[in-house]
Amino acid sequence: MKPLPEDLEKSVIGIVAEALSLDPREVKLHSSLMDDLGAESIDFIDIVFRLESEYDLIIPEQELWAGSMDIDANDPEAIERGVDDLRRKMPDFAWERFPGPVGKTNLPRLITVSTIVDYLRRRVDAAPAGAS
Amino acid sequence: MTRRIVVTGMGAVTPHGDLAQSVAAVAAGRSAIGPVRSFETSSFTQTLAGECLVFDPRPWFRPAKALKLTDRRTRFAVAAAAMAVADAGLDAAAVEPAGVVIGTSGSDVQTEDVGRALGGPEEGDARDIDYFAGRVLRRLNPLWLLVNLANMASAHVAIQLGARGPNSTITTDWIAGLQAIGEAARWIAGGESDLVVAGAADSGVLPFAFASFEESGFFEGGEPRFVPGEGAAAFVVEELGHARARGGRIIAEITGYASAQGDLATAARRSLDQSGTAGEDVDAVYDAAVFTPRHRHLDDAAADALFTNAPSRFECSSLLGHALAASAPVALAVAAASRPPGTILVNSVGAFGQAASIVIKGRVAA
Repeated sequence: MKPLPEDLEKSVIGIVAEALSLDPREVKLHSSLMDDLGAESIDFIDIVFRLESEYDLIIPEQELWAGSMDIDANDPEAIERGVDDLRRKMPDFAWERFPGPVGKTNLPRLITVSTIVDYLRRRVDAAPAGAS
Repeated sequence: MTRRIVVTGMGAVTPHGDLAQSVAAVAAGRSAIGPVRSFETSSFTQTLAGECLVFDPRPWFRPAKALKLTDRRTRFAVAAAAMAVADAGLDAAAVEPAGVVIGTSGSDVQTEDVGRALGGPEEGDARDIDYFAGRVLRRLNPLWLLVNLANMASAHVAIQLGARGPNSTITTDWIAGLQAIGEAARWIAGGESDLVVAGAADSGVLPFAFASFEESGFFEGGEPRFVPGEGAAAFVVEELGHARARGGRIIAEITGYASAQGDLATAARRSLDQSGTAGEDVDAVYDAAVFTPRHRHLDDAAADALFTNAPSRFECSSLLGHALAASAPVALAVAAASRPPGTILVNSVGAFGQAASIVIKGRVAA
């Protein structure tokens, strides 16, 4: 893994904007990729590929959001606890668009640009010095 | 009761622009062929092509990100289909049950070849699946496959139009376009659909296509040398009663269609028989696209076998380049737009002898 660019936020916004054919000015750190930027499941495949290529790392499936949120997607109670936590961490997110109990299929909607930025920082912190 | 089949809308993308621009340019004998601009051609025998340089796909795709899943032929197909639907005066509700069938020569970028080409000089790269998976496939965006599948053109036409009827793709090389229109006619004749958006889209103006033409000898031989082209033509094909009930403008009736292997005269004869049209009643023949010395004799042989008189013979590819599967449908659109009323035979021959013919009549009897 390469060192992350100094302005990681701007770099990730550029990648997301490119993948979704959007003007980078439309992409905010708190934008939900699905709800605000129109991403579909296929776009996540594309975005993950672009992140992997740009930052020279491999992102295991689902790790992008699960690793960042500490949620076990197969445990409904864990999702509930995690979502409570997220409501505090993500005040900008349009929570009113969600149905009552948040389920596994709703989780990708929680991915914002910040989620990606946070994930990449975690990966750098977790990587042993000098390892790639 | 026989269901009659008519064309009620047309659209095209050619190096000259849209259908109206193409008809005017062909009527004036204006050539769109020039040096290839989109890639370097110095390593090829041929450096000319009919290239759609002014085509902008962006207005035809919603949302904008849908474009990333498309290659050049899919972009042409979506634009031409939208033009045909607009020409037919169809709204979204009328298009919803429509079928879609698109012909294209297909895009089969063999992964083994990609591996060999990209894998570097080390011995055994192409057969080393670990190397291939780890080094080559890892560098390909996973969406690469979705862009290259042959059926993407008809899929994206249906997605962009909101057409939820039968959907199919025909990839019989260069005659796929006429076969797609013939297939649409048969869906309607068989009662499977009342309205189908049919046509073809293709591009021969790509480095991979040029390399294929070079390697298979298409650029060899005397003049005129084979000139690749690109583009699309699409038609709204409709059951006559359905068209009349909605007050649609009837451009022409499709009265005959046939295909055959290795013998254009057979395909043309069958399509004329189906149409109930004698050779001497044909006003014009569009020899779509056989513009290589190697194939020219097929057109001539068919003409000799079919006609005692000498109907006017036209072809568009000397002005537009050979748009592969789209070549014959473009000729059909130009013919239907520029020569109604009349009886027109459009012929198409593939690189390996597949042949297809369609007969249209500009005068549609009650």
